[in-house]
Amino acid sequence: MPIIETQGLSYTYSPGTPYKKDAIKGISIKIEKGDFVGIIGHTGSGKSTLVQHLNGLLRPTSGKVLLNGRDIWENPKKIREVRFKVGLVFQYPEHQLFEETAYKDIAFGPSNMGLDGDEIDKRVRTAARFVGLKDELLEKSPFELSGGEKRRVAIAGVMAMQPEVLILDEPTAGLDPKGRDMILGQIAEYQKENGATVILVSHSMEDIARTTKKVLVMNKGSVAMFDETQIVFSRAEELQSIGLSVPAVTRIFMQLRGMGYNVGDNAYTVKQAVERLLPLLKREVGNND
Amino acid sequence: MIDITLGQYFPGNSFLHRMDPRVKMVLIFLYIFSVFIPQNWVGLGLAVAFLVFVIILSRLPVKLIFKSIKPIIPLVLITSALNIFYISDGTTLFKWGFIQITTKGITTASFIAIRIICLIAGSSLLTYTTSPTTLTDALERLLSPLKVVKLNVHELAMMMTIALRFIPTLIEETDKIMSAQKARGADLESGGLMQRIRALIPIIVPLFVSSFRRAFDLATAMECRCYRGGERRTRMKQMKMRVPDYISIVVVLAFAAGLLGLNFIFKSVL
Amino acid sequence: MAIISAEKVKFYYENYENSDNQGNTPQKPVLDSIDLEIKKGEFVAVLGHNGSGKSTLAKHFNAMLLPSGGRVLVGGRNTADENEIYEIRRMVGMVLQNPDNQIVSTIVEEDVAFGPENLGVEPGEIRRRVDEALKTVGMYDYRLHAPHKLSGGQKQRVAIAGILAMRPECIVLDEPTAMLDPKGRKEVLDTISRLNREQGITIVLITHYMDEAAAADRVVVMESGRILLDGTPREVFSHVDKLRQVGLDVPQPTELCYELRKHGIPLPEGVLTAEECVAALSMLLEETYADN
Repeated sequence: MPIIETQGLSYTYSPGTPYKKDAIKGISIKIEKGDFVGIIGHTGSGKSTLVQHLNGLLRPTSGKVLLNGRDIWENPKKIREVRFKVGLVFQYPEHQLFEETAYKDIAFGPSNMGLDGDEIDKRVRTAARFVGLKDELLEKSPFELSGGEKRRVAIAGVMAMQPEVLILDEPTAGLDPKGRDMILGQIAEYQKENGATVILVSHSMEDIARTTKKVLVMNKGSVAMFDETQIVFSRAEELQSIGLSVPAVTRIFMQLRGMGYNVGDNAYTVKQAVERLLPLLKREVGNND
Repeated sequence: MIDITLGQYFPGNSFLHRMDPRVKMVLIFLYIFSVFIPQNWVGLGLAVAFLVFVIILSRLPVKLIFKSIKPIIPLVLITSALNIFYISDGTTLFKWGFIQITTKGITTASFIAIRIICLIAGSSLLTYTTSPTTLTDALERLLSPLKVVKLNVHELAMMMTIALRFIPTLIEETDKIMSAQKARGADLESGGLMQRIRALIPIIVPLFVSSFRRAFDLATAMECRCYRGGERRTRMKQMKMRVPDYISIVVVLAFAAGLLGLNFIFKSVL
Repeated sequence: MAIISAEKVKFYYENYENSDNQGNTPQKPVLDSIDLEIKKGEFVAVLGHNGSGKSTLAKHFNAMLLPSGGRVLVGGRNTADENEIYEIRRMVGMVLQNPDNQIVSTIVEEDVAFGPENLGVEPGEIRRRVDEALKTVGMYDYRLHAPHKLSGGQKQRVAIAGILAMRPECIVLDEPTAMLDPKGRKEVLDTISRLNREQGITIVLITHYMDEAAAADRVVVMESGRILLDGTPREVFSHVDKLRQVGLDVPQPTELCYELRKHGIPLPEGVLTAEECVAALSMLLEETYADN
């Protein structure tokens, strides 16, 4: 049974007014337990609208969201419990910090769950460890921390609820390469260690290529592709045709193939490209020896 | 949700839209005062006719005007009722216990009702045909003589402009923060009063922090663009009075004088 | 000719908590003796991770910050001279990171007029400049729109138009694309490259996107308040190890060639774009195919 399934999910903003806009239309997808899914698409393609349905922040205009096989809107009064099971980290999550200390801020989610003090403490510390926050930072005001640290506190705040599904909307937006690598690494670690289901929304093809196992491509409110990362990037021409830029290495492979070289499938990370090209090039270098 | 930057503004290119906003503002105030001049039906009729004429000039959908009047209908009804029941001079038409309805009462009530409606419809004509930014601008220029009494009109107007600019941004931000805290299980809908107030902290604190950040950024951006207060500042949009504006001034003044004159010609019915 | 020259610029933030009893501030300087000349018409990218001092340096270029030591000259004027401050800010316009927080007015064209109005430009001239600036950045059709309804890339272009209307000689952009999506990033980058090429406006682009830096004439890499590397993109990106050490990326094609070279594949240094990389690889592959 998939952990999350959507059936014909549609959502319309401001229905019945001249500003009516279909944000997503008829989305049916299945996400299995332990999946690491990337979602890409333009601004306005419906990515954010889609993920806000998965934890019940938005209620579908039509269609259903199933969590472990059950409609999350079966009992609207229990929708808060869905939010504990499907944790959503918003874009620029550091803008929601409000507590006196980083520790208290991370504890906000778990305490809303009604957990006891010991359990909250355990969860806060585990989450803080995942995002690499030292103990002494936890006692500081979140507003004294650096940009990257704030972001990690905010992410820990959702991780501490220990959700079955963790969704992150653009977790690396505005970070420098170091901060970006750190957070992506921590998310991958969290996914591996907990066998958690993770959904990563991103504009960055490079980030998606490096981390996720599957990719969901959104275009104009519908699913354009949903498949293994390798397969999605092998359809690079289609991605480009809906205006998404593919990683530079993928472009290099496409061009080489276009010139008639048998370089195999598209590579989408530098590591893959090196592995793919070395045997082809080594032969030549070897001949010269 | 209404768009605050537009307020009630209904874009268009009518005579009223094109008028110098300062002139428009002053004349509409003048009209509103003059609605209280007439003491006779002819004068009041003229005031209403003038309003209808201006509405036609504005080319606004009549529906809009009715929309602006709708919310004050209860007020109009209550004041009319009070007048009908309290005024006891004139010919009695109806009497039941202490309730007494007289011709004078009905006349006064009608006058008041019509005056309030003209007042509201008139002022809504101003907001329908002028954007809040232009209104702010016009106000700045109208009040600029007050510089003499050390009132910094430029800064006041700048503050209003910035407020208009950032209110939609902050509304959007509040929405986002609320969603984010709900995603962490914040319960904003249940509990007693104290609980609900406490539940607002996770929303208000981030909103404050972000407003400070924005204010700081904006101040930097304004300095980068050579802002130094109102001194030596010029404006791209000149407010220039043109022939139609002068004509309008003459017409409205004549109208007000006419109403005064009619008070001498016709007997007061109040 | 240098439009901006920084001479031994040092900068400390006043920090009383860390100061000792004598009032000395024994902390690390944010900028540590920077010498840098920006020539007229250049397109310079300044790279560095957060906290490397790149934004602090940028704020010295239009007198938003004044050096604690050394001096900054803009078109020969010292930024510390209070009488020159507005002329300096007119000459060196600045675009900030957050597109939402730098737009002052509720109507696009009025916002663009803000700068020239502050400078006391005559109204008819402001009108001409505003229209021209909006056309240059491709936002003329939006001149009567409310800024909060625009996309991030459009807002940044309006911000650039607001600077253009002051007729600057140089535009400093402090991470203007950090908060934008790929489409917005492209819009902004295309706009500034065009301004540089067609109008000869000097551009200083602060960024941490390597592909943006690759489009510049010159790349300056900052680390701990000093200049680590300074040269053409080709020169700078050939120092792959050094860049990685300070937590920066290199463009993917550069990285690919670098990795292959490490395995003994004879690829040239300083490959920047996918096209160059394809050309270099195809030459080698050609030989392989010919051999078989």
